[in-house]
Amino acid sequence: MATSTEAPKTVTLTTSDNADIQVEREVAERSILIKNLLEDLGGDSNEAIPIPNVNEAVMKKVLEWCEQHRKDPPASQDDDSDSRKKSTDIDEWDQKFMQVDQEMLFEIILAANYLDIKALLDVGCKTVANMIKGKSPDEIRKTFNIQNDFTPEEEDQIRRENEWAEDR
Amino acid sequence: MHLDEDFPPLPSKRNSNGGNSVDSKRANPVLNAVKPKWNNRAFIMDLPTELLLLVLENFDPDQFRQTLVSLSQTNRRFHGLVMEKLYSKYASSIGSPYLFLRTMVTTPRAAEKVKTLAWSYGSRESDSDDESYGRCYHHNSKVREKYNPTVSDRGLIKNRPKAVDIPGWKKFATKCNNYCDEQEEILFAAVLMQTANIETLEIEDGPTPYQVPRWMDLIRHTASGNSFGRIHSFKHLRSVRIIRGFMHLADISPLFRLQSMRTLSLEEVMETAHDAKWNIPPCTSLIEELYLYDCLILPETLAGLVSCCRKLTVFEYVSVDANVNTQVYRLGHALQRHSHALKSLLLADGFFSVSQHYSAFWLSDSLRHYEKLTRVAVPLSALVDKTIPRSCTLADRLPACLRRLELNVGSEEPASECEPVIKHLANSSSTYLPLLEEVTISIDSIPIHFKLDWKRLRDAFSASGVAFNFRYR
Repeated sequence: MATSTEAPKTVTLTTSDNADIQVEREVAERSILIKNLLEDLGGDSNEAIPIPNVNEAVMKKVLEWCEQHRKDPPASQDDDSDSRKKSTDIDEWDQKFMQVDQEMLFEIILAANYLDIKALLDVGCKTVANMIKGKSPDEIRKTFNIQNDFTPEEEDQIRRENEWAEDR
Repeated sequence: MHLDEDFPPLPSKRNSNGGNSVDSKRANPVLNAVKPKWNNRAFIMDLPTELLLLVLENFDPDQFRQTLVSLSQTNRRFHGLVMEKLYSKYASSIGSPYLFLRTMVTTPRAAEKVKTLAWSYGSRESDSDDESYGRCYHHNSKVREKYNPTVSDRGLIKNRPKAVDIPGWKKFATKCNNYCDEQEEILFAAVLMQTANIETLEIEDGPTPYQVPRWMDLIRHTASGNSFGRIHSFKHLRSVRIIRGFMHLADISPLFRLQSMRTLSLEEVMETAHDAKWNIPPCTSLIEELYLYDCLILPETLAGLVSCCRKLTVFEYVSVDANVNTQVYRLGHALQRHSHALKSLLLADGFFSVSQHYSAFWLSDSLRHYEKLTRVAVPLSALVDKTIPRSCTLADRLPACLRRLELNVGSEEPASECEPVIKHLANSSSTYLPLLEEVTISIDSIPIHFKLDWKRLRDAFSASGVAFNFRYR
């Protein structure tokens, strides 16, 4: 961890649309992908790190989250355990952060997955889950612009297939 | 066949290349998830399957069943994706058993996903015979109306037992279609025939019009190696829990023969002297965890249950037998077989009047040589005979690998007799029980009747790094 008193180390990230973003190394290292890359490159490389799968707007947004969460304890080994999965609660700052249009939301999720930022990926998925929760099939389709690709017969069949769960 | 043209183009299709993931011609919507297209505008269906599954992980089936149902009706891809969650567990309390059976019959892909079945057919009216056992029934507040099968339903249900060719399929199918509340068990048996990947069963047993429930019959046939039509062979069934058993203990014995079984829990299962004898030979069952709560079991049968297992790692027994002494004496011997494997031992008395029953001092020399026993929860009197002077040593009789010790003190036991035992344990645990982490004493009495210097005891334990707790029940 960078604990020296000198000016914080920075790294440069080059996004898919060729924008260079300078950011503190500690912030960038919330991304396990970047952290591993930096480690592989050795101590003090000044080379810009190409992030070919994320554009500038999304990268900036992701880095905003990393900045806010720079001091969070690293994800533990048992991160896959119950505590993470069970609740759809999201802390307040993250909730506000996720108030973006759907395209950006999915871009953030895809970027968090690519950059290997588990906690951000988790918040993104919970946000989507919250948008689905309690909705009817029609409402879900409307919310996400999903096409109904069932034939009427299939639709009928699936309704019958699920009837047991609706009979209460 | 469905055609894309049936639907007007949606805003999400705005990408010039039409790069959306909705493709009606996909044979398998789950496997053919379209990879995200970077630099195009993202859309939920662009998320790869692994990420959609991550979203779905937030929906616990018990809490979000309706949401999962909605998703399964949204489009083909979601339909495929939620199936695993929607069908992993079914409880007869959450939806009509008949309709669930219909789905199991018509949608084998859903039936494959079922891992856990929780079925209650024991919560109806009790007849006079039941009352003779003195059992109390908590009538289930099910208000669900009985589903009336249509003609086409009847046909669907009928075809299945015929297809798997079970003996007497016609009668069986007719019973399924004409089920009444008292016969919901037959629907359970019929569902069980479809769910080849079943791992866990939780059954609230109840009276059935026939002597042995049908589901147990299916297992009995499998366990004995007889073919019973073409039904699956319960290869994955690992855990069974039976509550308030109406079955006789001998009827349950096929579970001990099933090669996949590892955990068996019986609650409020009674055995009478008239029941058939326990007939499973010693050291043959692969069951590793045996839980017997509030069961009334004859001493020789109890020993038989323990002996027939090859390697028990957990044994918990809460007795409601007033003659527990004769039981535990045999039990102590039967448990010896598992001294190399047993990790956790719990013995308790459902009556909360332990001292009279366990005065036999029956575990005295038997626990020291248990090699893996890390948790022991027993009545104090089962370990120490306090009536013999200077026999109050305890630590040297417990296994050296012990980490957690819970001792129960009965309401009749005077504090003056228990104190030296506990004190000695505190002072000698570091020598005999180097791994001990926690000691808990629970007392079936009230504080004014059972006074000890708890503070001094706690200090003594903490000197050897052991956490000490006590509680009055």
